[in-house]
Amino acid sequence: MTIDAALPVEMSRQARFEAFVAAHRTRAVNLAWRLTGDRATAEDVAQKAFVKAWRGLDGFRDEAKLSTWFHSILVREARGHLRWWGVRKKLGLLTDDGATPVLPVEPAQSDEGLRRRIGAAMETLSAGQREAFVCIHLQGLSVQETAEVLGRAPGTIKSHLHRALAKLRTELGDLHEEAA
Amino acid sequence: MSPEDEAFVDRLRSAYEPPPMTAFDETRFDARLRARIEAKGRRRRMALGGLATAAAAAVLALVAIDVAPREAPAVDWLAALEGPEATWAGEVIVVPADPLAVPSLSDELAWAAADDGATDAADVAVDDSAELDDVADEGPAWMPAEYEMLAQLIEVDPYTFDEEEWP
Repeated sequence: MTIDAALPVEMSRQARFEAFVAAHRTRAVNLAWRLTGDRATAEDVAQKAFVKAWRGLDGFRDEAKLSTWFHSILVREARGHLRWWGVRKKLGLLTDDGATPVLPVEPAQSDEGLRRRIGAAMETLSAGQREAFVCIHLQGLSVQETAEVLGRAPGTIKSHLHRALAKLRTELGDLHEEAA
Repeated sequence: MSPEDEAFVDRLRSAYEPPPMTAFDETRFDARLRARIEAKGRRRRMALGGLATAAAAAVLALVAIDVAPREAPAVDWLAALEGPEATWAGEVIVVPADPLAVPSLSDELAWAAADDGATDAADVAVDDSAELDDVADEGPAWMPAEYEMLAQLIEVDPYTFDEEEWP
């Protein structure tokens, strides 16, 4: 699945970047949200990735490579945030429920409970499993694209994917039966 | 994947997504992104400016060290006044050391100078490696002053005269 907008090379840098942001904004925030589980954090992570993309925009004429590079930055930023969050949690700087005190609470929605359940199940996955599952099953990237984004071999990605699915089936057994 | 797993994944995909971004959210996102990029550019320019200033300061410091007035060697005027009379010593005459070489005008002048009392070895520098052709023509410079006066009396250019025209 391609996620690249056709960006004419002759556009100015500013216009090219704005078109790139417009084409990737929603998907970037969604990917970051699915990796971090928080909207404000997701926007922060996406913006950091876009700032880095702004600096590296001139180095890419192939938009597909730019997109892969951008997604790899995004995943790294999210990974860095989760690591930082984990350290803070271990140090007791966060509350027991794991929520960062400074982050705003998301508005309640009808499927908020289900979302939280899935989010809790996602947290049981390892970082590699979660990234592989989110990129492939939730974001629609191919195994090859995910391997490039995550910087791992396709075989490793498939392995992560298999284990992630098995674990989620266990954690969300009722959903699996309901879907079946 | 089995059909059950595919349906399960579809269910997760539809349920596990953030609330959609509104137009306001997108505008806010873009504004914050623009502000971040501008702030980053400002910080980068400041850092580059700082580096350039530091480099310029370093260059100026090096130049200042290089051109700082050095203390001139003190001249002992009293010793200079009381010392031996200044002679032509110090002027370097290159004299070939080959004893069989045809003496040049410089050789003759050097010997004449030695006859006049400048016998100190330091007065006449000898360059053993010099060839005859390397010897500078010092003749006119060492012509005695009385010869010049005599030449003026008989109206002859002492530096270009021909001996056959000598009166």
